[in-house]
Amino acid sequence: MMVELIAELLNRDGIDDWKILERKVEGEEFFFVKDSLDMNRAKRTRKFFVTIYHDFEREGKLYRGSSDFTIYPGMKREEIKSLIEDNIFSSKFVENLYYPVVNEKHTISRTVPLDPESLDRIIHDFPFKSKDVWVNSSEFFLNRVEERIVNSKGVDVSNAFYRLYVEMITTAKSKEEVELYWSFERSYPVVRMEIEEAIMATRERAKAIFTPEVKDIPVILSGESVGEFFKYPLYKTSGLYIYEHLSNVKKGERILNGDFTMWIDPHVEGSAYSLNYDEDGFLCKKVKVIEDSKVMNIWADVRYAYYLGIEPTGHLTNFVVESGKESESSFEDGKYLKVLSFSDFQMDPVTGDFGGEIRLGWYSDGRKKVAVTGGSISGNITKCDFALSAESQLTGNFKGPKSVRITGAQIGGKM
Amino acid sequence: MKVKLSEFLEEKIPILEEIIEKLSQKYRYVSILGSDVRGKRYLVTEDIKISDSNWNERGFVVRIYDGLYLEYSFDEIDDSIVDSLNEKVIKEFERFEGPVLECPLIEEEKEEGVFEGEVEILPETVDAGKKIKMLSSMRDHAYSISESLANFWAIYEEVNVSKVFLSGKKHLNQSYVWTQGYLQAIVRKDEKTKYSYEGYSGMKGAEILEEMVSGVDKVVKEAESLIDSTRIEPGEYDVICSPDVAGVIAHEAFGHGVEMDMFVKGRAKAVEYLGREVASKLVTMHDGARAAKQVASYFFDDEGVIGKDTIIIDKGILKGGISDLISSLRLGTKPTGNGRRESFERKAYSRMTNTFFEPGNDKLDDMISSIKHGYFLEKVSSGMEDPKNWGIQCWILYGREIKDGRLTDRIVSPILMTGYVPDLLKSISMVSEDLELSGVGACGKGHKEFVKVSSGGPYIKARARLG
Repeated sequence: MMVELIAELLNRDGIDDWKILERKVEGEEFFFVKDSLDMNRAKRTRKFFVTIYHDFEREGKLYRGSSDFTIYPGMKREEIKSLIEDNIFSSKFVENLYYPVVNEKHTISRTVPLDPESLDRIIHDFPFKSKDVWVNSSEFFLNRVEERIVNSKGVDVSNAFYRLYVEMITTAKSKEEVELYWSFERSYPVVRMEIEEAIMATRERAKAIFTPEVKDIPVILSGESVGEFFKYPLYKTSGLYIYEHLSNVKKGERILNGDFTMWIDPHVEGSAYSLNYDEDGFLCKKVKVIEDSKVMNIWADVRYAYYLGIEPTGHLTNFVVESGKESESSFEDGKYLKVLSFSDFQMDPVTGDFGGEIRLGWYSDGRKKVAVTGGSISGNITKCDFALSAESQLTGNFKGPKSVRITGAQIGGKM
Repeated sequence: MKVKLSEFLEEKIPILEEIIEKLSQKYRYVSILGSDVRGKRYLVTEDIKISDSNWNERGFVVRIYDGLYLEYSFDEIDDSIVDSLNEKVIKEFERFEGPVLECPLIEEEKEEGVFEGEVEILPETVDAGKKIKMLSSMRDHAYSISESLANFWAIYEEVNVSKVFLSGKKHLNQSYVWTQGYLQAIVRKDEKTKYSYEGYSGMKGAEILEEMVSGVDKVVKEAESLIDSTRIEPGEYDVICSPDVAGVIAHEAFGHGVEMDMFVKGRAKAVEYLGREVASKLVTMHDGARAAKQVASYFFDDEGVIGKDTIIIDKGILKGGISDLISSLRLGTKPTGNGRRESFERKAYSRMTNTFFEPGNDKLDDMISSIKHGYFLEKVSSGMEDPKNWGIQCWILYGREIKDGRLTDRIVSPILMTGYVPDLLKSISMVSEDLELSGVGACGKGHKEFVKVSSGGPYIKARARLG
């Protein structure tokens, strides 16, 4: 057994603690152009991510140096020994304050993930064509991942999960062809309704006009950008950001103007990011981070929690924002700009600046709603107010409201 | 100093050749790409971290032809490879009942070649202690010159690439080193946080650490100057783009737009414009592993095609695209050596390498003085393409206002530049004599498949929508 061999070589002078994360991936992949198979692929890989820790004292203070490296299958004993030697040497120059490794002993907990539908079945049922809209191209990836985390304190735990990733380009035609990009990541099959919504949205882009120049109206974010929007409070409440002086939020203080409640939750159903144990072998916990916009807890892995003197929650898995009380349709009263698809909506979690180019949205002047494309929205979350829809969604590792209505964002349209 | 091929790959070549021979009895085309990419990343900030480079990989991908191309990626070589390929790939293909997009057979010429890169200082000859010491002194100096510094990052990354490509007629080896450095200063005043960065990259060795030392003062002062920046009033402006901004325009505007796997899918509007004017006559644009010496330079691509220098736009006229091997077979064109994989674990697509605009004849001072009201745009955060509908989005760190031909003290930050690609490229009215390429970033296809690229150009004057 490779893990046992590596562990044996790590139990030596110069190493005070160690951890090994073994990751095995078996994957199958299908690539399509329209409804025709372009290529199919498979893969089988195994890696061992190793961290060694080396403790030393300087001027009465205890430090912990470390070095991370990867061991590949097929590496010979001598090659591994030499790699370990190099990394022990490197770790002596890493002068970080001491922190412990996980020392909570769990019995080996082998989890067996639910088998997803086979990729054949998902592809068989996939709606490659619809009225006026077709799938230009699509890619399907289904990975079965098994992880085992072992450390020098006797931790020996495991995760096993499926990760299904589907990417598709949908196309529709009016005067000329238009397209939209979509991706879905789940631990089990993509909900068919989401695909149908994507197809309907493509029809709308085909008749979109350029986003007009408008000012001082609410902007409604819908879909994937909502999760990105909440990355600011997510990272501002992380132990890493606080330790690195990238955030100065404190427990009990209010964060941002809108009302919202946020959790870190390692067990969101359907999420491809749900896990029992993080990469340190720590049993991840569900924690309320923000309640009614007030910071309740800081989330942090074992190391940064130790530095900050707080309870660890584990590395980030999923984050959940509780949905609001108002329906999405109630956001659409009066004038507004609603955006469903951006080229690439981005939130800067350090500064709070956000924005993106609009690929598909709708503008309403209070009487008539038209599909729009082009132009941009931008702003800073600390200067905006926002409200959350009652409807919810799961995108990547975010579960939360399907829409957020923002006031205070700038719209860059065309006169 | 020359960079040698990894011993691991050298040792595996006979076994890989046996696998090829075995599979060639049944399939008309068989190839294997072997990769051994080893690198380290040194980060000094509040903490110090030594880890493997994110670009590290060690494994193989076998490709066979059975009417279309099928692939299997693996990192353990044993007797089960041929059986696994049969079980996991070929049987799945045989079970598939839908239509198939057939593809012509790859007709190879006999080709053998070895490439060994050369750098001034091989990274492994400098010990970790010296690297950490240099980065730590950059961090300490940054704190000594600024009271508003909240955090400082000094990152150095070294990557040693070894690849072999084997098939019935090809036997290619390459080994080279690239390095990159990154400085980031984050400043805070009251509740406002701003940052700036400096990047360093090239087919260089540990000597890049010396280059980084001189950037510390610049990046700290730049970040401090952004504290008093304001947001730009959305609108259309005359702009001067620095070489890194120009490079991202080249990359996003007509780099992604001419990736020829998009031609196969009917996703590229560029197909309708081949041979037509798409940019100002001042614009000539290149892409290619051999077009420049930067982080995306190589001897052969991940499908065993020798890298080239492709002219995409020549004096405003769209000349052609960049292609992977399979797309070129389907289109009946010649591959350009742009078939790249994120790693041996992923599919090869048509991807950019070193993408840039050629320099022109204008002086930067003349370009600034020609603007009544506009902005001098510097430092790119990110970009995104829309190859079908020719939209472009670039996040730019900051812009300095130009009024009546002079730079003012007003700084706007950040800036989102958007627009319609031909409008933007046709608006280019001045091009400077300079040429700078930078390769600290990575390029994705959609939102995945990251590969190392560089981009750049001269300073360009254009008209752009900013928000």
